[in-house]
Amino acid sequence: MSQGTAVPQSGPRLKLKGVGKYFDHDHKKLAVLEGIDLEVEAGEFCCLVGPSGCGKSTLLNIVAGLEKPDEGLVWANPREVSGPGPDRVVIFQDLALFPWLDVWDNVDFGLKNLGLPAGERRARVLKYLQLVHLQEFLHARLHQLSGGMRQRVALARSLAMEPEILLMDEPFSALDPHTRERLQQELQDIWAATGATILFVTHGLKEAVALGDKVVLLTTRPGRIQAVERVDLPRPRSVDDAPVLSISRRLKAQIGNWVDPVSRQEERV
Amino acid sequence: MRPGGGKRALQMAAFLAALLLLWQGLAWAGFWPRYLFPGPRQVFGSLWGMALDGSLGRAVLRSLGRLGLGYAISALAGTALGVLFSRFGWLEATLGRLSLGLQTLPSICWLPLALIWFGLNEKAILFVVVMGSVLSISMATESGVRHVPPVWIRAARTMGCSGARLYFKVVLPAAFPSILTGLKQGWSFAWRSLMAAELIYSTPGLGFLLNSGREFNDAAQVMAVIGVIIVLGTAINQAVFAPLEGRVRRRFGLD
Repeated sequence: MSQGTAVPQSGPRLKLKGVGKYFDHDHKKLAVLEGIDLEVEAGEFCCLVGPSGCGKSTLLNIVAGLEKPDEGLVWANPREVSGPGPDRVVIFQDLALFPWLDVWDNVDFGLKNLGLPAGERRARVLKYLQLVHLQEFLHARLHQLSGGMRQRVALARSLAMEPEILLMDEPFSALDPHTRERLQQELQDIWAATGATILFVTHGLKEAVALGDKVVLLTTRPGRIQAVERVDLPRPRSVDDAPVLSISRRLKAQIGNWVDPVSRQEERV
Repeated sequence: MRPGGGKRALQMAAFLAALLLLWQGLAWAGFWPRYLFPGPRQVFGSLWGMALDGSLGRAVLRSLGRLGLGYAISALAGTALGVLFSRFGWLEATLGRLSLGLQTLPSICWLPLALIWFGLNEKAILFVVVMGSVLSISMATESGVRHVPPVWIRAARTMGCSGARLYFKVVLPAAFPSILTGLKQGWSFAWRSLMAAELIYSTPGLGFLLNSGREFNDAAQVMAVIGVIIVLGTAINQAVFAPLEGRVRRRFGLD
């Protein structure tokens, strides 16, 4: 168990109050996000799901401190968020691994920023690369790895920093269905092993239900929270489990027809 | 080596042999007097002579020494300038634009000014070499830094990387493919500028050997030195830039 990720704390690990974000479009104020209130408890796996363009990635970036909200406040661990910090590490959709570094140095990158001693860094790099089953590829170059393996490197790189909150922005959407499902399983194992708090953005309803303790449904333009669903099914779960499917179906009927063409395609897969 | 690399090398060798035969044939045919159109024997003889009396070795060392010093200054200053351009918009809008204009000026045009400023010495040549190459390196660096995928910078910032560290650990390595293109272009500009400057301002070096060949009406020597300049340029390209580029392209997944 890692120290950083599992320190229990009173109150939610992440709290958003009245968060709104607007863009200027032809001199008109266009609401991307409006009145977002959200709490994520320590160790909770929270999925944000909504159609493309509903602002879910913007919301994640606001939590990461990469974008500033126009309204409302964000607290994390338990300070007010004013910028990016290593307590809230992001796994981006296109991974953002550094091709000029090998697997080991990619994972070591954040640890060097933390200023950890060499021995501790070494131990952590090894531990997390083993956790994602990459112990055979410690010094491989990224171009030698498959998409799923690169995803594992990105996971190890973020986990190794032992952040209070792990922010994941549609991390599996570029993978083939088989690899995606394997990584969904592995992510649940890793989450169970580390006790990390996860905010996971996806446009796949089934993926959200399969992974999340809590599924937050967003509407589009403006992005508002439409419903919050607690999922208490036993783990590990898969997107093909009957209970997962039935909850997904019920939610889909409940929220109506926001599902955009892209995710409708994915739902069929 | 690529598949078929051996075949390519064979093709090239056959082509060079044919070229040599054609040259020898033309020389034997005697369309032009020998002192205007020397054959391979005269040219290789001249090369051998210059190699034996040490004049070729000295010239190569002098020229490469100047190139090395001038290019090192250009590479450092050009990269630094490029980073400054990308960091400060007003600098790019002013000095950056101006240097685009300056780049259209053939660098040898700086020589008269350099001679006035520095006198008849090494500094004048160095100035021409630097002016010929520094701007292309700074422009490539600026464009490379400006086009670093923002997601790398965002990722680094969420992992607690900022300030100078962000520049040295992320921005510059990420921009390296473009910087390398600029460095390669800058090198070839530096080489050309150096040869031009050495030709005009007679000082020991390969340009001087070319010029002394002309003064003695020795076409064989001129041809031999031209050959040496081509071989040197190609060798540096093959030994330094080609492998570097190959490695960078593979790592960045561009191949």
